[in-house]
Amino acid sequence: MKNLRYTSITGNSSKFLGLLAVYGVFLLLGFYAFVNMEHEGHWITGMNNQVVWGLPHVFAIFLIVAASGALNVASIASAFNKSFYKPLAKLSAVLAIALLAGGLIVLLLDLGRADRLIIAITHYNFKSIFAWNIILYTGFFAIVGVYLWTMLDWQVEKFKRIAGTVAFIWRLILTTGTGSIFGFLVARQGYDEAILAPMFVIMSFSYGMAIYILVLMATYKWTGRPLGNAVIKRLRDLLGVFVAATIYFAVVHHLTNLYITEHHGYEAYILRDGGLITNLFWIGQIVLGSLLPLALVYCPRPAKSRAMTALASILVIVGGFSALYVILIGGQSYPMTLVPGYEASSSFSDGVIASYNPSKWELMLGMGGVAVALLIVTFGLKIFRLVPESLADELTDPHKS
Amino acid sequence: MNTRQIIRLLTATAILLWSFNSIAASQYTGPNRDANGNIVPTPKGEKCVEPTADMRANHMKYLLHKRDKTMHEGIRTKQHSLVQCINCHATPGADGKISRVFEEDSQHFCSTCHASASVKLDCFECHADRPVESFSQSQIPAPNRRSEAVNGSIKPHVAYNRKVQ
Amino acid sequence: MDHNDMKETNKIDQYRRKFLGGSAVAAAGLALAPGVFLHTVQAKPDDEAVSNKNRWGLLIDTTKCAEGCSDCVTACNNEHGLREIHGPATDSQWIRHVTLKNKQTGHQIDMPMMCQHCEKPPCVDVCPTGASFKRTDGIVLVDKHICIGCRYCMMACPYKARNLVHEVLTDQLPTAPRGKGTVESCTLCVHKVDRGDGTTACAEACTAGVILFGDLNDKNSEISQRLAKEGGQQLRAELGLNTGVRYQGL
Repeated sequence: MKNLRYTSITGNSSKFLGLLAVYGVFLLLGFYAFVNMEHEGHWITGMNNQVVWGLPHVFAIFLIVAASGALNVASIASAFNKSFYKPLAKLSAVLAIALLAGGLIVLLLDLGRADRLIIAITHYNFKSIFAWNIILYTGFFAIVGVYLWTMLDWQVEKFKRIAGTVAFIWRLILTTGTGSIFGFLVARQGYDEAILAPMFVIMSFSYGMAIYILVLMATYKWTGRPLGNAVIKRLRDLLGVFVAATIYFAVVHHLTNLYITEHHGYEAYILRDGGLITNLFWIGQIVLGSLLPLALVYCPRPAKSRAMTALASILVIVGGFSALYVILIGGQSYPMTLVPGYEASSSFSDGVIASYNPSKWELMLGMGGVAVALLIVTFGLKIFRLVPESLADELTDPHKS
Repeated sequence: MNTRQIIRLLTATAILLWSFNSIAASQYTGPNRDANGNIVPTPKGEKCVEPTADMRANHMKYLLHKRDKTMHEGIRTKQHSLVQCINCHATPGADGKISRVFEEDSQHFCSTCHASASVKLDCFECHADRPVESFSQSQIPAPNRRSEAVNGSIKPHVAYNRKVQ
Repeated sequence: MDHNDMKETNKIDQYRRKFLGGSAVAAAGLALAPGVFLHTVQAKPDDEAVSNKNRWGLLIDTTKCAEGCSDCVTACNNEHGLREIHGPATDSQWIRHVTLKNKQTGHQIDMPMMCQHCEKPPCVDVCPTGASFKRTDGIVLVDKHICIGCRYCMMACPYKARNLVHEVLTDQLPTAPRGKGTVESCTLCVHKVDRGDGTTACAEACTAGVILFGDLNDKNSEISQRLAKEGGQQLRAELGLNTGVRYQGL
């Protein structure tokens, strides 16, 4: 592989400023939503005492899961020493940090007492998987930060391999932790399953890769830098594998539940009777988010088109949001069995599907988190020398050089 | 300015602020005024559970300690209990009414001082800021009042005043 | 002494407590009615920490619970200052009347539901800050001072016992501090327990005698004796949480 020149983006065009302005609008809207929720309390959101985690958590968990997956490219380069991916690694690390920051900020601003954030650090319950996640998230920032440093500073470059490996292991643990937030819940039919942890890991691979492809394409297109087909092809193939693996886990998950009589009610709700949830599962997660991207990646004709690869990535993201909405809202809205064989009814939604209608505030807060993530990536590209000036095939493709 | 100078300046500022604070705390201005000269309600009883100067400096520590004792161990002695503070200190002012913490120009014992010291007072977002005897029948929730709350005559977030931060 | 007598005695006790007030009950009760069995709970001194010598719990006889009755709910709301604000979806309900109907036989069970005060509470396990905790006497509480409102305990509770305060509150009662953004649930009337009332607001209000409060660790307490003689089930017993609230007639 030839020597590549890494430069920061110029970032003074009107288009760049326009991009910042768009982020700014979403940031302001997100902040406005937070101030309102903080001032009024959560009654202005769609959340209630039955569905306690709503749209902000869908956004937050999507971003956190994707953050871990965005580190894929860097992991392949450093931990597995594949030199082809090395030019792509720095952006991958910055994107991972950015997505995690975006996700966490949504999670934190949605707390009932966001003003007491410091308590999450001063008071610790080590049995809580949520508390472990606080360590995992802060650790992720630190470790990926150090890893990025080893990639940017030649003086510490000799630690790159070890830092990259630690980051890879850490992100696997991190997503296992995120999945276990649900996996460790005995109370609800939709959760309480060990498969959720590896399922979240594989979901992270695919969502993170989709976002990485889009960010890379946008960066090179908008800065007029050459981006060869060799890079796109490799990333597209990886995306395909990850999407297929995600389907595999979804199938095993639902087949297991379908076999166990106790879970038939829950599966009927998700797969057949759930209205929006059912539509999101079949149309969002399965058709748009899995089958169509697979077709776009593996059918020879669309696979040649860069636009189709971008579309596949967008669809994977749509599928990801759908999947998390189904897991979060679907899992919470399905009623618990108090006494087996008896149908419950009460003033507290016992025995009935709990309703949840997302409010504009929650959407604004979630979009604000996305804006934070993209803003960090954009600034990262401007401040650091993250991407090569050219990723043209003759520079990257080992067969052509 | 180098780092050392900055540290020196910060230290000097901190000492200065601290000494002002001590002087202010030592200016005891009689039972009806707080450290800053604000008129506060006359408390019940002869003296507080600790010397006044001690309470001014350390009431938050006592309250915090007692808070955890009560919450986790069920120790409900009157000493240092917030309810007891309120029972003695939240008394009617000249107009015969007990001032509330979050009302405009509050004359509540706690909020006058906290407002002038610019220290956020968040006990009373949850805790009662007046003795239970002073709750009028209408404020003690009863079944017949519940429907009024729905119709909007009780609007908690309107009554809430963020002046004391 | 059969149940009805026991119930009568309880009522008299309650009346006496109200009449005499406070901790004088135990002594005065003995002086007033020598020879009458008194189901009294020894009030602990104010400065004594609670201990695992006691485990407070409830026994609920669903066979006596009347359809459509909400006396316990009203009493709980009044005791703790719970008001209707934005409707049942977001208002706090520490106790609720649940009706269960058998899908095949149509058999109906009416019962009150509240925090089950588990020995091994999932809400305590999952709480990141330790705000959700269990007192040594078995009462599960939220330390709202360190609750950040993450609502993970609400996700984890198998009984949906927890509520988030969805709005700014005013005029909370001194005995029941509550505030926006923190999670809350049935406290087993901890302020009454500590005062030595020996009962809860719901148990006091239930004229049908559905709810019995008592010490599960005290072999001689009425609740233990009835549990020993008549038995009592836990809701979702398969989770192995060893709840402090037991049900009869399920």
